[in-house]
Amino acid sequence: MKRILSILLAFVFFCTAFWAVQRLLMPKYMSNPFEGALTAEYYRSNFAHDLIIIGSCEVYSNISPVVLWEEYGIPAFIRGNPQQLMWHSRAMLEDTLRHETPRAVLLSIQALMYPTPPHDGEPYNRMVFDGMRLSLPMLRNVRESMTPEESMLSYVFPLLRFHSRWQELNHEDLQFFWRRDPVSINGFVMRADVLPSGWIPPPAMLPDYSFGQQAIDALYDMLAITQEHGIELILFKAPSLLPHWHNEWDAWVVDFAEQHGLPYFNAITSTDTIDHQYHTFNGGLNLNLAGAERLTRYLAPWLMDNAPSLTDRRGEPALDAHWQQLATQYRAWQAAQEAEIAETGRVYHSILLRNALS
Amino acid sequence: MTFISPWFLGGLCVLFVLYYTLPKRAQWPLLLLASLGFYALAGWAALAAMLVTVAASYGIAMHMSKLKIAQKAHVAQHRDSMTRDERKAYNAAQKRRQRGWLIAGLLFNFSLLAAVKIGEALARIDIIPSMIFFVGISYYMFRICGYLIDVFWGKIEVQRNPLKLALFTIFFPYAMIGPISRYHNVADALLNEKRIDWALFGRGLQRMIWGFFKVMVVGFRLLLSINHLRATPGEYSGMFAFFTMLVWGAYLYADFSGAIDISIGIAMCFGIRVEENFISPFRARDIFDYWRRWHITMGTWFRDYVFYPLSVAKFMQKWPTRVKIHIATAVTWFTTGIWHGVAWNFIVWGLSNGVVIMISQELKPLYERFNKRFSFTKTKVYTCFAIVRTFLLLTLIRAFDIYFDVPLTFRHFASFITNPQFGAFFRYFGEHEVWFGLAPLEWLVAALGIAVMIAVPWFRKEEKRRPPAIFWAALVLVIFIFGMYGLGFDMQDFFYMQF
Amino acid sequence: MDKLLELLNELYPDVDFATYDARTDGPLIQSLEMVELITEIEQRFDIEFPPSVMGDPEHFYSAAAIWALIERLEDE
Repeated sequence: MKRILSILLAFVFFCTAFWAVQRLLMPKYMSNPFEGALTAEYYRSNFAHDLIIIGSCEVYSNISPVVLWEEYGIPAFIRGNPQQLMWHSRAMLEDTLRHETPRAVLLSIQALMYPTPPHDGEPYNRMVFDGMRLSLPMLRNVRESMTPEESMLSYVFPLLRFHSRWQELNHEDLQFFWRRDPVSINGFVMRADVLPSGWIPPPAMLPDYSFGQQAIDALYDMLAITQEHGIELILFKAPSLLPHWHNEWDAWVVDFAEQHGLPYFNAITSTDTIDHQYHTFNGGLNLNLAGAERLTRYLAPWLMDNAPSLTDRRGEPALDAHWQQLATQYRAWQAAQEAEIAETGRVYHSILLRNALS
Repeated sequence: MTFISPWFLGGLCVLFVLYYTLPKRAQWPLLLLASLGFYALAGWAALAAMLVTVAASYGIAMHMSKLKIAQKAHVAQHRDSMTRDERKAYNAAQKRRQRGWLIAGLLFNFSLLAAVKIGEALARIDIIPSMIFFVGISYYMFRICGYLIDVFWGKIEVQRNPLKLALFTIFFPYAMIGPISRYHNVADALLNEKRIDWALFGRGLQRMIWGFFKVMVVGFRLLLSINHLRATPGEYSGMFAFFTMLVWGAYLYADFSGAIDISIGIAMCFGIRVEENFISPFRARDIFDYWRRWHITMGTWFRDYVFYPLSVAKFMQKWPTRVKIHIATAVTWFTTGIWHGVAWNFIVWGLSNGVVIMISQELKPLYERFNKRFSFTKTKVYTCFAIVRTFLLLTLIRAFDIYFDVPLTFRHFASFITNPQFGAFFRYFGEHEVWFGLAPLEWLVAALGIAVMIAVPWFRKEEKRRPPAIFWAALVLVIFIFGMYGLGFDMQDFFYMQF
Repeated sequence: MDKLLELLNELYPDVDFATYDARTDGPLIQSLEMVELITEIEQRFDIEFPPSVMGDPEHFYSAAAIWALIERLEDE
């Protein structure tokens, strides 16, 4: 009896200590690269979104949910991560459906251009999945995303991946042991500064313009999932200058959208409101705050026209109160970034000092 | 395929459950099946070679046994009609016939082993492009050849079931890395029907954890440094080379004895006791003592099957005892060297052991007189001195295996005297942020790991008071955190698995 | 038996073989010395020692055990 008790005690001790050590050693993604914290941020939202926006940095810094709400009454959340590939996007969709069923999904199709998990894709995989709640769909998507060196087990027990961080522990690991600071507003990563685009290399000719099967499969999966749940699927391409979006690719997407009766919004060809001298913070890759607000105002009316399920929800007291809070935070961040830009010409500290602002 | 893989450990858990829940007569076939599967992962060619060896050895052992039975029956039948001399002559003639079969069997097995070893040697110097990696071939060859000799000697009953013989040959915990078990020590345990013995099972698990700790926290960590030091061996002479040799000793012990701990632990979990292979080797007081503590099953194998038979062989009888001993010692250590690989460094390593042993043997009377004369030789301080002396001596001998380069090793020995570079060595740590391929914090972990290895000499605690369950839980956690595994760590096989 | 004790005392003058038992007193004969012992026994008792018994400690833990072995071998 005493022996069984001591074994039981050791087991409890082990599980507790393992959990604590794992939590301590996992990257907190609170400073660079803070984008790793984006996935988990969804679980702190109110799970009452009509529109879920899924994609890479081509969405999370390009569309402003606060503008979507304040001016059009669409409650939206952006589920984006850096270099989010098609199968990552499918993971985001499946994970979202475990918590809520939105009316519409706006999907960035830019990642179709990446055919297979890249060899150096491990850090991006981790950023997508580290914050995601464990579930079978998640593990299925992990399996498809993994590079050959990775192991599934390290997503179930991240300690297996991050154990060697014991040498790199810093105050952030203690500070954010229990809590995290917000790094986005409903998935929107704000950058108010400007880095105009310079010379853009002419696009290279490709030997083959077909997309990879894995990416196409993920797209078809998402189509099937949204159809099954009665969700409107809307395809979207952001107005980025880089990486170049070939016409051949676009033709495929247009064709796909027509075939399946999906609305497709290509912001490259249809917008003249974006000026990459002013509306980008990284030379034409992504939009800054001003660019995102412009694009949102351009996109939203089209959305209301083409996605009948999206209606103006302003005036519902619970939503109004919730979005009031988000808008206040949004304005505070904007003010802080603008103040820093006025002082130093760039945004650095005000991104990392979100805690004081929120 | 090594012990350190989630697949292996997961499979092991399933196997434990099956082993103790299936009908008991399924136990040994289950182990055989698992062993074949484990071995097949190393390659089909290796599996085929193993099966051929077992089949040939089985046939020869059966035949020798048949001859033996006929011989006994004949003697019993004619007990009264034969004189003692007649009986002796008859027995000798029968023995010769059996010996012929034994030699045929040994030749067959060892020529296969030699072919693989020579293939390895040629591949090392790029004469042949590549070769199939016959993991653990020496280990099973030595087990099966020991079995053949024991059958010939009449020491053991022949195994009539070839599948049971196959299980003894490649029982998977010891298939790849040893210990080199003897048939009479493990056969019963392997083939018996067993009920679960929770105490033994627990001890097995603890033993495995201890092994994983040694291998993953200390061994693999030091290996990173070894790889760094080996990459440009010419640069690190003098104190640097001495340091390399020390690290190599610690690495080899952690890696090899740790893997053996895992082997023994797994076997214990199946209710099977296999031989110990290490007993605190760095506490040895002289080289004889050392070889009774380090890689014990290899040492006793060569003692029983090479040294003893050779030293009492007929053709040696006319020589004085001393000469016999020296010849047998030299041959034994030469073959031990060759066993590790057909390469000069292994041969020189084996012969150095032999030479030191022969010198020590000659000096033994002198030592004994010295010890009698001076009482300080009985003090603890003197014992410590003897331990350190033995440790240093074997550190030097072991150096031949680091570089695979005999002249370079000798140059390094010479540099201890000609250019020890004391100043440069100690300055190195101030001038560099990473010390020989490892960050200072990593060295700290390695040093603490070694301290734990010294502080918990497993062997002594095993039968007496053992650490509580919570200690093992903490150790598992330590392995999870400080073990070298996962992304960014390129795992290599156990050093001793190549043999 | 006396002949054997005489021989053992020559090789190990410090040990009292009337009471010595390796199982309690710790091992005494090591591999190199084993060869000496066997050679002497073979000469003095005119028997042939099979190498197979040399590795078995159960034949050598005491003078009585060695004697039993010698008697067995003489009989063969």
